[in-house]
Amino acid sequence: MDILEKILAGINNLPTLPTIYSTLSEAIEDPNTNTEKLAKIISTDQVSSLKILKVANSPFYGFNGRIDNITQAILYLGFREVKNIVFAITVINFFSKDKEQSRFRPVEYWAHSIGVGIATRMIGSIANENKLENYFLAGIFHDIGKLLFSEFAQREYSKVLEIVARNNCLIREAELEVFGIEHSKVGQILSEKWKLPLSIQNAIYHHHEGILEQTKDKLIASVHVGDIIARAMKLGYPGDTLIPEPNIKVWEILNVPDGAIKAMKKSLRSDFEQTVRLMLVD
Amino acid sequence: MAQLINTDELKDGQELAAPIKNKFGQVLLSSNTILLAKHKKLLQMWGVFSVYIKEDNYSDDTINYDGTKLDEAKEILRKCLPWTPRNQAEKEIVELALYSVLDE
Repeated sequence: MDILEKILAGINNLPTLPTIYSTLSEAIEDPNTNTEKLAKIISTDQVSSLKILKVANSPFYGFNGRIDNITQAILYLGFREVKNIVFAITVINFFSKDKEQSRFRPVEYWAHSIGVGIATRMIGSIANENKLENYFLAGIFHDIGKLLFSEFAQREYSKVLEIVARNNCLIREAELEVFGIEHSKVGQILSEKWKLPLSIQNAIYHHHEGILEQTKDKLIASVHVGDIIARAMKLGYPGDTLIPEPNIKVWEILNVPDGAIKAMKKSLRSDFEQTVRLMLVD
Repeated sequence: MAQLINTDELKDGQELAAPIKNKFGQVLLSSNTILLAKHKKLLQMWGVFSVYIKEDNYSDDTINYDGTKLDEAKEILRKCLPWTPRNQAEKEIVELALYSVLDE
């Protein structure tokens, strides 16, 4: 079995998502569902409930401590946003955060991913996108392929990180050299297995290019820019220290007003620090 | 210059720097609107969590750093950001990166 087959087999053998997420997904699709029913499902997992409340009250949602129960979280944030928070928390807990290997620290990886999640949501908002519920999640999972490489091909991934350190290159260039495939594709395979919305699958797969063929997909463009901003502001560690040049075409899709990116600096930093504490430490 | 702030933090008398639109592109509040408490309530009701307001005393943050430190930071940045900005948004990304190096 070659290394790529080993990784794909590893993804195939990953368990399906925990019951709370699938039960919640089914309930949301049920036309007879109401807020109380969903709140009851979430409340069966007390640890998740507490984290959801903390995240829902984090500054980037703008409710600053006014959400005291799950029913309110659903009312204010919407079913899908709450489901996405449950999903993000579930997946972060699903993979071990302590399994460090030389130069790959899962905590730093997740911190970068959270930074990209917050930056992506802010960019979406700046770009006048009204349906922002997938933006945070797409940002959080954009690099999930790196975690899969490190989980299922630990020895080879050390080689990837050595190449990055030696050549000062992007981690995806070293992945191509070692595996013949980038983390974006591996992440997309997992997102398909886990049946994430197609828009999120596309954002994971195309976040390096920032665009998908002739489409004007704001989510892909926002994750692309969110990743670059998180790298520029050193939010977590993505596996290399480079800040890639944005694809010039994303600016036509996003129409970012002058001053908007600079204006993100303060709130992005403080939202990042608070959310990392909520999702990774508390 | 504009500053993005949470709706929660709005103060009476602040001025919108960009219009607030609904999902159909209709303008709900136009730019230059002077915001009052009633606007804050409306924005919260519409689910608008952050808005651009005009910043009176915009100042370039780099003036707080001395020339040598700034040159050193630019040199460090050249190694991890080997491209030249082509528009205002990219200039602002480069600035964010520069502040990160300066603040280390």
